[in-house]
Amino acid sequence: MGGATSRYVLAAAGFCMSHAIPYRRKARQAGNNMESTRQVASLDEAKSQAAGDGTLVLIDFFNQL
Amino acid sequence: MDAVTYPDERVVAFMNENVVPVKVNISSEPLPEQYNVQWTPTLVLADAEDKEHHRTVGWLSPEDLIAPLFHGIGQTHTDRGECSSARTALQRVVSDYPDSDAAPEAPYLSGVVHYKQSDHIHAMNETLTQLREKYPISEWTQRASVYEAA
Repeated sequence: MGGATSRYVLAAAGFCMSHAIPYRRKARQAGNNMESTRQVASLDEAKSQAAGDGTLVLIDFFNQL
Repeated sequence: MDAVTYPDERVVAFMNENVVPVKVNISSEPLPEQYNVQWTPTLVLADAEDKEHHRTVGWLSPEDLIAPLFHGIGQTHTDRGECSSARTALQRVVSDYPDSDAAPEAPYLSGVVHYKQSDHIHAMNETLTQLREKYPISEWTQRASVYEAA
């Protein structure tokens, strides 16, 4: 996830926040883009945002190798 | 996905405009079990009420990510009975990503929506014509061939 992904949510759905750390590091490396990075702490928060925006939640199930 | 697909400017623009993305480690239950995820990456498009509308499994290039997600948005509108919005989203798959793997299914689903909207089976015949012209060897063209006499 690069710096340009300003909206890419950095959560691990609240169940294992340690998995979010690498993404935060990458966001920090992106400098100014970090300020506009939207972060959610859980899927519930993502759903709340989606409901407010009238959009959908995209859940990326990943495996941290 | 993190190295190639998500940093792509087109993917960023799509994400910003259309979805709230969230990453979930497959080892952190209960969500993988709840969504019956068996492999990664699996991308699930769901609404705020937890209803899944579309999913993809496996790595996707930027081009091959956006097209199925637009299709998923079209599927969502279809599920909700929002016919005009569904057809608009599905048309974008064909117009913007005509060579993507997701493209041939879009006219088919758009035809289904048109049929449900108009109650005229002729809509599926028109779909078949469009599919034969653009995607003659697609499985979706084959599936629509049953409507030739419609």
